[in-house]
Amino acid sequence: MKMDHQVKQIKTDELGGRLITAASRAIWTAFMPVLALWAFAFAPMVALASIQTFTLEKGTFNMDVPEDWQQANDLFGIPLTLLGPMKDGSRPILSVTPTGQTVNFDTAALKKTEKEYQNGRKEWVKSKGGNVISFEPYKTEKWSGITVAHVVGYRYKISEGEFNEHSFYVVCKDGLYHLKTVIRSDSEKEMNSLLNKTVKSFKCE
Amino acid sequence: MRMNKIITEVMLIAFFANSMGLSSFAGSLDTSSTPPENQTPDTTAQDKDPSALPAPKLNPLEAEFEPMSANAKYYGDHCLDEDGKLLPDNQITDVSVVSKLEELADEESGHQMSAPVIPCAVAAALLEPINQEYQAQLKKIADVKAATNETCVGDCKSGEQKDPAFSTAQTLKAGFEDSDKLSSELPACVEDKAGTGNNRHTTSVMSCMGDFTCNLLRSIPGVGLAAGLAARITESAKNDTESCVNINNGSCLASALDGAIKDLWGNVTGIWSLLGMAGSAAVSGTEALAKMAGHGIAKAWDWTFGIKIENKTSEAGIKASQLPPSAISEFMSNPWKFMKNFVAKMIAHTDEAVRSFGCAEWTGTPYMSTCISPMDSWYCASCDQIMNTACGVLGAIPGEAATALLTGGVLQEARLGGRVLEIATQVMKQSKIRVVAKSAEVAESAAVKVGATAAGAGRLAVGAARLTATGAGKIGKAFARIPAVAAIHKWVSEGGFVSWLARKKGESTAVKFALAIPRAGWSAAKLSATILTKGAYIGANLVAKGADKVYTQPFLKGAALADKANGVASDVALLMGLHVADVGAAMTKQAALAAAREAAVKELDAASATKAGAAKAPTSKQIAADADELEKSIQEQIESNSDTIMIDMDNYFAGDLLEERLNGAGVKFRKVKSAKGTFIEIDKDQIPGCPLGVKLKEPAFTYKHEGD
Repeated sequence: MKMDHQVKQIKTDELGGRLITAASRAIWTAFMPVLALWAFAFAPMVALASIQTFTLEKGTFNMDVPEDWQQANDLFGIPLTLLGPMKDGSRPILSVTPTGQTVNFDTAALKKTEKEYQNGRKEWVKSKGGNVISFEPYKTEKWSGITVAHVVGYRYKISEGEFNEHSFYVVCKDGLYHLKTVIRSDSEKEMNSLLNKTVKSFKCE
Repeated sequence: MRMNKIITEVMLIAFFANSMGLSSFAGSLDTSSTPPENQTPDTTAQDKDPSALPAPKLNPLEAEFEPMSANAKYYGDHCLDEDGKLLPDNQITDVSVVSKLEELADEESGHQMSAPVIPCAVAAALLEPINQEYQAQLKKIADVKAATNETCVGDCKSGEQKDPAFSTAQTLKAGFEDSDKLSSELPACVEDKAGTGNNRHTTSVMSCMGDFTCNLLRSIPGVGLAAGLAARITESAKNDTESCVNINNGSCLASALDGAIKDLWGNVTGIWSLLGMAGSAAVSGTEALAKMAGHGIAKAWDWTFGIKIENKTSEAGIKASQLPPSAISEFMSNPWKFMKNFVAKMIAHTDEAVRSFGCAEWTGTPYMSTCISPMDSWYCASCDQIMNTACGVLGAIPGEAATALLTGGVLQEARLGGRVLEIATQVMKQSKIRVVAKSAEVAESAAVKVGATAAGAGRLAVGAARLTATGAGKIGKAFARIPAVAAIHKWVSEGGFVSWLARKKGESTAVKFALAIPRAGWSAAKLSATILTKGAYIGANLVAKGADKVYTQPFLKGAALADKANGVASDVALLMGLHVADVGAAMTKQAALAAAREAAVKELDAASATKAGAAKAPTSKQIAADADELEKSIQEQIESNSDTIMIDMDNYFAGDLLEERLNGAGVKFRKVKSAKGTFIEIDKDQIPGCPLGVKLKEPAFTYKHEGD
């Protein structure tokens, strides 16, 4: 039967973005020592990643996803969830929701009203028996493939765990995308950089 | 619309209640009363639309105001048009209605108002604040009704839904407290507690549900899952050869599980589509045309809408962050199996939570730590008991909390302890009779220590009243945690109707409404509160009567009454304490404390009355000594040369008994009142050779003072 959330995955190499095919295997082998050296040099900072094209019901986008990460479609109602490696019972999460909605962001107005966001987060955390530690002010960012990403985030504690969470609202031609990252604080030192890199690799039409 | 007018009229009843006093005004406007002057009774609306006025099943508020509809109708007939809009130029001419409006104006302005007629515009301005208040109260009542879902407690009539909290309490009592009964019915089960457990017919919710998960999962595609996931589940379920067994017991739990699945697995794009709908509704004609032509219409993003999105994605994110790689692999390769495991874990969490109620031993603080030894009766409970308890527990906690409880993980860890404690508090409350019994034991012990004397009664009353004030706060907090009561609590804490009436009408109306609330849907705890309340009133009446008798008959009988009143006073103090606690839960802590203080004052008054009466009343030793003195006096006078015997009644406790006995014996005597006091004068020839004192002595001296 036809799968609604079909994922097309195209693997590319890190240097040239060329398809790995049987025809290119010889060239690939020739460059292997150089590549191995390069990978070794950057291994602690950057896990091997591959550009993937995701075609979901409400939109298509590309993202560089580390190879040891898992992906899950429709997990807990989220169209796409990317899950980093597990450590001490927790793993970094990046969820992506193509909304199919055309939405305008009035930066000035949103800056003025960001208290509403903060109050909403406080309520949610409180409902879980936790408390908010700090908020990051609403801001806009420019990524390599994205002109404007609207970013907001906060840090909170629930039970014994401290979490850092960010929302990214990205306007694309086929509608608004909502990305969210969740990472437990004790994984931040090791994983946050990679998580951010993955988020900012997001590209859409 | 005609309906608008009638609704407005009904709302305005509040004004009349406010300005006139509920009971008196209600009395003046019963069905036999005459409508206000110039009023043309109009029953057409009611005839046409039975819902226009409160239907047969009235809530307490409606029932209280319903008799006052005549005045409201008067206002409606004279000041409102058919659509319920104000006719400002019309005038109110009815003397009684005018006077009520004048009272209201006086109250608001502080100046006396006097006018032969009042324009409807003025009347409307005067009534508006009360309208708003009343409307708010009605809304809150609707909220309370919604919160209680019109459930019944105790014996439900046909078609009524039983309050799940009540089921919980009953089941818990049967399952955990009535272990003796279980022991007699299931000896093999209980005796096997140290054995292998072969005789124990159930140990968990899961074991009672059988392959219930199968049935539940069959319905999953209908709970708002993403279409793709639903299709994948269906596809992967084809390989499942397990049979689905329909277990009726699981039906109530299915609702809870279904809700939790919906909460957690509902598709976020469904929320996003709401933004689209909101935008579509707001777009102008031009924009609509553009949209029809295929152009997207941009909606402005705002954080308020974003809250829904943020909540959903945060919930999902934090849950996902706890799933191990193997679970994700299973979810992707066989979502059917993953969901079955997921539901099984939900049930296991339910089992854990429910079992907490039947725990005999904990690793630490009860309900906040791990149960290491469930009660024996839990293992001996039937599936019915277990399932009802599980449903009751889940039904007693809010939806979001239930989801966290059922789905486990860090969110559950954070909240489970507190949540179970909340439920445990409810159970403690449901078992309040036991608390009463405990209080009674304490009181009894105290009574023994202080002795059942009048002074002791006073001290008991004071102590119980103090307990009342403290208990009201504590129990009030516990009550506030129950969903239905929480709604009422919120209602009253915002200036609710009970408080409002208490302010306007004094305690009697407040108590009346407090008693009416259980009928409107309070849970089983409220039922017991009503019983306690009734007990308190009966006791209060006894005290009142007893105190009255003590005051008016301060002699032999007074002593007995004082003793009786002692006991009643202490009982009533305890009962009133609990009663006030119950009512207080609905009247907010502050109001409860105020009521408790008021009750304490009353109890002190009663105790003082008792004490005063008892102080006047002699002990049996005093009476015996007194009678000896009386006999000696009479004997001396018989032996004296005087022709009469004079007895100063004020000098003897047994004076009134002497009078009674003389009458009973047919002895003629005179009762002489003088400035020196009241005397009984008996001619000696009335008692030839008769030792009067002996005759009098026996009945008087056999009286045994219970306090001696």
